[in-house]
Amino acid sequence: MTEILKISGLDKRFTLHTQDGAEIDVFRDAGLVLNTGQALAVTGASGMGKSTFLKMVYGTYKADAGEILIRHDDQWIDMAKAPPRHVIAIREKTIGYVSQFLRVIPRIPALDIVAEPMLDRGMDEDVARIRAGELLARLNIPEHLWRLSPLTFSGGEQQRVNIARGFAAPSPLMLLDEPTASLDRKNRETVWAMINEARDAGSAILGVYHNEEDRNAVCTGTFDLTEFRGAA
Amino acid sequence: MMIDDKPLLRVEGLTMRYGSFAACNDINFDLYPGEVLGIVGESGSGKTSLLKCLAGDLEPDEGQIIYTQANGIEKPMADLTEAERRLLARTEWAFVRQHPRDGLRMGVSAGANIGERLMATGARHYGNIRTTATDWLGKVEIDDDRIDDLPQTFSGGMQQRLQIARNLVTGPRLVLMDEPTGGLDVSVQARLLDLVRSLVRQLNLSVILVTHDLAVARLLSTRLMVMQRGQVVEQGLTDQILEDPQAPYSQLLVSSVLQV
Repeated sequence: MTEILKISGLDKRFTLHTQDGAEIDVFRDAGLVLNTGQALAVTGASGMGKSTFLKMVYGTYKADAGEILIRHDDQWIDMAKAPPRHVIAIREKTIGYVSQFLRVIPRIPALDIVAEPMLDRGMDEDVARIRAGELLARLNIPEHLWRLSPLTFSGGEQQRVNIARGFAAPSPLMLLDEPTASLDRKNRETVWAMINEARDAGSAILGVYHNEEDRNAVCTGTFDLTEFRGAA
Repeated sequence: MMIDDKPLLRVEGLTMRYGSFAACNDINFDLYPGEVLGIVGESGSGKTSLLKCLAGDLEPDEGQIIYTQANGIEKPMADLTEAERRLLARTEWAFVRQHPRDGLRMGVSAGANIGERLMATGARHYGNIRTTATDWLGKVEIDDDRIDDLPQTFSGGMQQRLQIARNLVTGPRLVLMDEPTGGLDVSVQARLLDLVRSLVRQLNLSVILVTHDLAVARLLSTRLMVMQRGQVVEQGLTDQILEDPQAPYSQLLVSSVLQV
């Protein structure tokens, strides 16, 4: 087990300039250490900033203070300060982010959406397509839909395409934001298996889950954000 | 770390005035190979003036634009001779304009519009030029039996795709785009965006894209720069600017988009 993520002194506030400069103090001085092969569930009541925490690790949300050190190519890099092109390079190789929402691009077929992260990492095109098909089949997306843009798919189907994409080439650090929310039992169990396979293969996983059953199925521990609650 | 390449373009303290009015005020940024930088802001914010300075259509009053040529020479634009500029404009730079008629030669055929730029970079063999032109028409989804037709006979969307083919055929290193999907139907826009997106990836293009459409910026850019009244109020990763904007104006811009 080696450390892959070290967070310390992390503060997050939102200042809403368009709403009279209202300030929302989300959390203060948050910290954690995550190792490869470990899966932590971020817990805390609704509004405690669980998704915010994941988005900060991914670089989508800015940090007001603190550092988010990620081991990338055997170097520690602070995501809170890395310039955009470094963040992009780190995302390509080291961090994967999977939410329940698919960002559909018009005219791109489901199979290509799933194959894309594999192609980005230099996998052979035929191999990537075969693996993409296997993932879609595993998540019960009927084969006649693979050639279509998910624009017209149901919400659940889009969500499963997004999961297939997210797990097509699991990253050393996987951030999962309620990946199983609103899936039926059978598909949830498939996603649990995919998360556990990624962890067995050495990925570190930081996730927000809908319920305790999900947490018990895929996590080795919890990280409670409540301890770091900001002033109201 | 893994990225120690040199910027393709460095813009330092660029200011451009119309009389006493500063259309661009102290703009600073770097563009690295393979980056797509979106410049967003309302009309009148100075984004097109900035693009015109970069294209050499306007002279900045202060500051400099330093471009690293394919041969590794790094030179301020202002120090290039007119001949050097013309050569770079034909070989290493491309400018896709908002109105296709500003970027196409309307009096010559579609094939000639593409072939002209190839010839300007030294291609001489007619057969090869025609084959490349046909190939590019295919890439931008124009039927190859339209190769001898004048652009005037094309729809707006086709003209824009032809302009893209004409600009990209010589494999430029730096592509400037001014509202490339402005004025097109939404259905045509989607097709064009998909095309630009795949070409950017295939050819590893460095692009500066001016748009007022945040959805276009999100789809194509890796990085965004928000302009207001001639100044850059915020720059950063595209998803960060759109999901956690910091500057008051960026927040206003993002929150003003209607949800569909």
